[in-house]
Amino acid sequence: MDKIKISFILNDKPVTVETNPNKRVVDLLREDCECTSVKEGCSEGECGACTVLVNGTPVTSCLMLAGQIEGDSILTLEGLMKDGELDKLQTSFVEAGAVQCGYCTPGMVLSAKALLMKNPHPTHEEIRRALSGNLCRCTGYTKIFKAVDMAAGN
Amino acid sequence: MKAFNFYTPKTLTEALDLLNQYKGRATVIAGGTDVVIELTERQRDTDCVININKLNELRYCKVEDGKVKIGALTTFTELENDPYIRENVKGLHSCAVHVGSPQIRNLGTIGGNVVNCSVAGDSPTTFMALDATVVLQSKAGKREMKLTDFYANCKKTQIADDELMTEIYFDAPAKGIATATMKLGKRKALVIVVVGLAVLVEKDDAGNISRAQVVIGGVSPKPARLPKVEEYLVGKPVSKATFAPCADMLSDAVREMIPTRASMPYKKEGVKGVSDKTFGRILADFGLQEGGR
Ligand SMILES: Cc1cc2nc3c(=O)[nH]c(=O)nc-3n(C[C@H](O)[C@H](O)[C@H](O)COP(=O)(O)OP(=O)(O)OC[C@H]3O[C@@H](n4cnc5c(N)ncnc54)[C@H](O)[C@@H]3O)c2cc1C
Ligand code: FES
Ligand code: FES
Repeated sequence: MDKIKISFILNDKPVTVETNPNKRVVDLLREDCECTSVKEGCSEGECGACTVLVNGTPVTSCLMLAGQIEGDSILTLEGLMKDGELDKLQTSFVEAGAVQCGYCTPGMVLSAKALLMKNPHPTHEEIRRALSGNLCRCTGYTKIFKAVDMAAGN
Repeated sequence: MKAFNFYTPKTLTEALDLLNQYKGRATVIAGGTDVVIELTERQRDTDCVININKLNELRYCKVEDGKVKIGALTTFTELENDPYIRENVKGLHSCAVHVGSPQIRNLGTIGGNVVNCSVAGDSPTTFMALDATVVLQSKAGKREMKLTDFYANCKKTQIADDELMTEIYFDAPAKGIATATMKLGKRKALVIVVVGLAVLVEKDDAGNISRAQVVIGGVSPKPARLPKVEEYLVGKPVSKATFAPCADMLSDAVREMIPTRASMPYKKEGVKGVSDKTFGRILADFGLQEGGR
């Protein structure tokens, strides 16, 4: 198996990684790039814990092979903090009590981030739909939706 | 995951050269939502993976020469957001909206859905109701085939080892055509279809049905047209009363298609509601009555 070299933008910084092609993006980010906020839950696209943004779009990184992100811009939770300040969504998740065990949180926040980047003042239905690919076993979702509402200034 | 080499061709020609070179020993990856699971679970062995996801030339949705042409790499999200599809091909719009989750719709492509055509695939049912044609391309050239022929063999599709699906197209719905789809599943996000229905109805100036294309999915291995229902509809007025008996006809069809399957009793009841809703949407698309989502 020939190794492949992948160049992409990770949290606003250009990186180049040499790796085996039979790696998924979730493994590449966790093992080669120290982005351990990216969680693996179901490994089959159902739970959304492994969600990252590729060019601003949420995708499940357990369903992508490493080589597919060549040239793309990837955002993980590690990249949300700007100049030592938490993103509005991060503080609203804390304030609304939307985090319990925290396993779903990185994926949830990123799906919400993608929504707010496209649609700064979403309706409740739009929020629910945007988060419909992220499962949470703890919170019952209400506080998560509230957190997104708060961040949107609704 | 087993070892393989990985290629990301930059042009269609380059991709077709690779496929030709590796005949039968290569796996194509588009969005990856079906194939990555097969690779991780070692259901699939391959010498190399050809990543076609950067072939932006296969990412389009356009109307040309009276046809709606959709490039194989178009994602469900792109289809959902296409204003033409939303307005004029409501059945296809609704099909895209109800696939998987946002993440799956962002990754999953039309080509992957049509070529993979699992029992649970949603777009094949809809495309068959639109009487769509697939375009297949290899180094040797291009060929086209109606979706019904593409799926004629219930075990596999007609795509050859060295071919890529590049496009699917269908006649741009003229005035007087309504389309609708609906699937019954178990949960709002990520529903795996229990039974799906896709319908195209054309009415003449007098308000009578001049053409009907009715396709059921999720029952047999490949979606199936239902000529009996289609024949019943032709010549009748577009009305709630005309569509009402379709529920029972579809229920009978399910019973005939899978008489011994454990899920038959559920599917044959479920399809009745699906029928009422789908034809309700047809009426709504004709502006005759509220149809709901
Ligand atoms: C959690 C989850 C939920 C899902 N929900 C739904 C749903 O609601 N409805 C539904 O229909 N599907 C659903 N799917 C299935 C899947 O997302 C779709 O089938 C998707 O459209 C596949 O496209 P892809 O680009 O990801 O395919 P890939 O996985 O990249 O490829 C699938 C197959 O097609 C081949 N292929 C892909 N593109 C081409 C091409 N252009 N030419 C030749 N061969 C090609 C590949 O070699 C492979 O064999 C779901 C999947 C997951 C994981
Ligand atoms: S781990 Fe990727 S969706 Fe669950
Ligand atoms: S906080 Fe535990 S899964 Fe969501």
